[in-house]
Amino acid sequence: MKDNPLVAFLASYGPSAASDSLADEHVQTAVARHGVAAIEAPAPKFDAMKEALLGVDPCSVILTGTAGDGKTYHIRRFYIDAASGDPKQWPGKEGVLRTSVHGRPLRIIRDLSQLTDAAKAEEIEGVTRSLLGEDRETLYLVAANDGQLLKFWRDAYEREEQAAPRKARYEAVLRTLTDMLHRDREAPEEGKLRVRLLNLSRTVTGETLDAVLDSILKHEAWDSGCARCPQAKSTTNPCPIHLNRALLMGSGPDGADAFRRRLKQAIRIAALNDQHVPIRQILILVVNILLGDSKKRDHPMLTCGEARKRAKDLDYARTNPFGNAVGLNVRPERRRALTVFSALETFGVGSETNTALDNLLMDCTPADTAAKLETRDPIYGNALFRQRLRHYRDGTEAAAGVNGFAAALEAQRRRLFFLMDAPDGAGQISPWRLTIYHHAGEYLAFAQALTATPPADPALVDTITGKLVKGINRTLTGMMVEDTQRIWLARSIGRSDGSSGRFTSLDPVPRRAATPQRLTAALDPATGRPRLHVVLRTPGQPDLASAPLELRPLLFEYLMRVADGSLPSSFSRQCQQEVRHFALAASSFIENHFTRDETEYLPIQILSVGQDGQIQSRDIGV
Amino acid sequence: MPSSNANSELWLSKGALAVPDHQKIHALTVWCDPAIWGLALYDDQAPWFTLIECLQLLTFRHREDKALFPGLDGKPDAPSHERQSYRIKLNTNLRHLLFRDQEVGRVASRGGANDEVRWHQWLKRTAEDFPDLDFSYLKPAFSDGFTHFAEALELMRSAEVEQFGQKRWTSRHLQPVGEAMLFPDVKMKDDGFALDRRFFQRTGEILYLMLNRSAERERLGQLVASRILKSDGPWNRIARRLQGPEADATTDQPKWVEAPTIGYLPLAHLARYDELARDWVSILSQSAIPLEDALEFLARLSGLHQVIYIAERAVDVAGRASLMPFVLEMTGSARNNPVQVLSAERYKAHKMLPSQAVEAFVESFTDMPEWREIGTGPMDCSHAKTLLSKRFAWAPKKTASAAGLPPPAEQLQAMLDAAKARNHDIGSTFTAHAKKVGLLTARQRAGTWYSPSDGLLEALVLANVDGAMELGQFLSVLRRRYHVVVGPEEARTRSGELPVPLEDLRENERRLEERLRVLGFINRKSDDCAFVVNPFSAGRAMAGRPAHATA
Repeated sequence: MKDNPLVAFLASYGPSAASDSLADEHVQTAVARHGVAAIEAPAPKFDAMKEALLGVDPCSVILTGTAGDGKTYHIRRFYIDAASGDPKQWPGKEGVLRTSVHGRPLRIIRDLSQLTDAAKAEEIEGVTRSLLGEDRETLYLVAANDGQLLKFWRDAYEREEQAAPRKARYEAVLRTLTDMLHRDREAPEEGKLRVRLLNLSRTVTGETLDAVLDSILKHEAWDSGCARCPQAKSTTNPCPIHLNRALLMGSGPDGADAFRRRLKQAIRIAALNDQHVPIRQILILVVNILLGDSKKRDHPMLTCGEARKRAKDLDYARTNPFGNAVGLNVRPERRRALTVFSALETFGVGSETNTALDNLLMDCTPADTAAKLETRDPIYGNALFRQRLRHYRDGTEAAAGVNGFAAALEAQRRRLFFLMDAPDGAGQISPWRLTIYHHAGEYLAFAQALTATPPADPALVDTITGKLVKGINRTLTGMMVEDTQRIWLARSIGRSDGSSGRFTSLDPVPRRAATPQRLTAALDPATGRPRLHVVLRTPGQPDLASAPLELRPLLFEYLMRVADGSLPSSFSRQCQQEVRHFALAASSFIENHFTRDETEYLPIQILSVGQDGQIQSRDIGV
Repeated sequence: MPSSNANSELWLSKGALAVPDHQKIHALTVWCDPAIWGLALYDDQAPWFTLIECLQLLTFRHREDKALFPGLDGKPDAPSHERQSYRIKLNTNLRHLLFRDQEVGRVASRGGANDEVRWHQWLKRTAEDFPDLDFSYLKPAFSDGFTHFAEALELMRSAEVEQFGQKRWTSRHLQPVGEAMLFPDVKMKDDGFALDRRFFQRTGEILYLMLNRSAERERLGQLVASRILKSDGPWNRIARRLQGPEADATTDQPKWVEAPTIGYLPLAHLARYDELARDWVSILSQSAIPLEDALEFLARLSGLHQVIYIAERAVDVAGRASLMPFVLEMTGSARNNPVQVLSAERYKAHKMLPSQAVEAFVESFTDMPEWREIGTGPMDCSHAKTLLSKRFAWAPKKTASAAGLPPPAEQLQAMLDAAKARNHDIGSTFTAHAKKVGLLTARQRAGTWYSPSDGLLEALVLANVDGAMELGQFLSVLRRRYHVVVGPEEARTRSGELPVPLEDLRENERRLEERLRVLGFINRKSDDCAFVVNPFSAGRAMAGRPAHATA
């Protein structure tokens, strides 16, 4: 029996502490040791780099992103593939690598944080000159975490004496870069800086995720390396690694790729909540799903030998890919240190549920849904659960404890979340009801519909915007109102008497009407997040928009739940504040644009709720 | 003894402006706190009351077409203290309706009765109880009904500020969102009112003087005029309607009270005045912040700057090197928390500063030949008494002792003791105002330490962040402008040491971020970078028309 070298190779990407150092530099040593082809990570910003540095009017490039996003990988590829650099020179002993592109000097700073303070002081002036366009010859390619990047210029700025000419220049760069990072802009506003700021943390799209998944799941060594292993072909005692791979690939019995789709959706939701998961963490996740094993906490990765043993013992509870997906095979402190698992943990998969879904698990109702799951995965469902359920009902199994029935039920909920099909629209039997984001399915559909102009699914956008409007109205007025068609920018005068608005000076802002101001939903092109703002339309002029209400999944969830009549206390406060800020900023926006005429007075309208739940207003002003 | 220019005899702190002749100081216990910090920073004058007093002065100047912030009197090379007087509208009708009337709500809630009956009942009752007041103007002004009148009044009452504690009706106030919503702090006297300043003891005038001496006073004047004084928002109009004919009372009518002098602020220029004015400019120039909210931020920030002023001034007069920063503890919990312990120690140290300053101030006088040359004979004792009275407005309690006056040293000590043990002393103001603005927190058993309220955090963000600012930079701004320390970077001493373990300070910084996030002021970009954002940064023009109506 020969082990597949790929398994050992992949394990080095796993959730152990050693993989923290598995930056680009170390991957190549690992490749050499195991003798398998390297995992082809995607470089989504490679083309943008080439365009900026090699274009007709080239400019410098700054790559930012979280650790593990592939900054060094991007730079190495550029150095070798695009700048025809000598691989032997890579990475060089100094922090700065000098080369040239199209006859211009190019200085590559692979990692700003690696530079000594002295080296930073030496580089800052050169980079600043290039960015400000004072030096149009020299180009820079710099990689840094966003915080370090800003600190680079902030320190330089603070070092200079007041009124020193350099101080103002550093400040100009700092201001523009801050603004670009904050607003997720790749190019500066016209003429401000000669630079492209490529943020790798903003580019994890579905395609990037697919590329990472495929680079592991479709690796050539799966076929060749397992050829002589008896477990590979077994149908009664299948190899857990192959089993998990098939589930993730969607090459299982019914060919559905629910697991993969749900993972991608969850990662997307996390990212839209500002919990970005870098590529290296995605690799950890995928490897952990395939090889994760919970028998020995200090060895969370299967070897081929252990995989064969689990198969022979039918010990599949140890290799459960749905537990592995949330990192249960890893020690809790380690799990929390890994971005991907801490991001997924906030979903609450396993503990969140509702009666309908627990009935599905315990009583297999509705039967067709339950049957479909068993076809999709005959190993990790009934085979692990039915007998324990019987014992539990007989009273011979304890509910609590690490191996109690409750833990088994949670494992089934996780499987259900990752495997079941999402229904069209909302409903109790939905995978998202197994998370705190009950409305994530609608959220994703809403965002998807807004990608097209006009929206792909106007009816859906209309329904959801209506519910959001209702949630906002309820938040602002503190009354159980039913208005879905217009927003009342209600407020109170004494901020001490809570957040409930008793009056307004403005007419309600309708969603659709012939009025010049209206509430619209649109997608933020930089983040892909839906948002609401008040848009002012003047014929012959560009539209003006108020500061938007960024609909993060959390805020969306809050508004939808409030519209449904509940108040999710755990995250209410922050969401209320965001809605209040939006309303205040929108009010000022409207006032500043509509009441230019000083003789025109704003009324005071007292708000109340009518029989039909609609908001009524009565003017008590002069 | 008090001659017409007795004020010129008062002992001054180093670099202080001479005290104007007409400044009334006879009511003082002793000329120590006022000489160092000004006349007066009063502990019972809460932040809103300070702002309101300041706005009364500004409102008067605006109405009289005077420059809002003319700067110091005198010539640029020989400046002298400002001499100003102002008048405040009594605004009695509105004040009665808001804070003394008990009948409007009662009459309005009575079902069945028609409008005519309600008006009649209320007017009749009020005429009986308060024959001096005439509210007959209200019925035509609220022709749409008594209930609307009651509703308007109820809404207006929700704008009351500093509602804590029992106060006489003539010391209760509204948010000053318009000139019609200002009231003086008066007492009823004979058939009128007298400006007795129960709560308004010139802390707002000191605020005005600080702004008037700041570098940005011209820009500030324009902003105050356009955003506050010229605003005639809906609130102000309701207030005017409730005021009736008083709304248009001119200053020569007996419906006003006169403040013939304003407070004394010793130093002509201080960086603190400029920082204060900078925050005013910053808040007022953000047109997206509604006026009501802007005023609250101004009240808080003004109070904060005055608290810092007390500490800075004390350090300066006491001749110490520098002010130890305010360590802000972010959890509000004292359990096993080294940051809380440090913060409480800092507070204790700060609280000692005023009495050290008072000692140094008195010492600066006793070092002078004028005092050193006094001997111990009976004549000397009498001379010492006269001198202390002249320089410090100090008069010891009358003693029936036949032995005559105590020796000069004892007299001096008695004066120092009185200066430090005085009620409402500057140390008490420091504590009271630090609590009121949300800088200081006090818990039973746990103690008193610096831990900011949400309101203060909000004001600090909006005053200092234009658009977005990286969190680290925000912390460095707080350190530079307000002596405030939250995380390890700012806590480091000059020699690079940390007063408490690094991990605790990091945790403290994380808590700050978490609190700002809950307040809606954080945009975290990655594990390495978070922005503090000002949500009121103006909406931007959209390129093209990417947004589509949701229809």
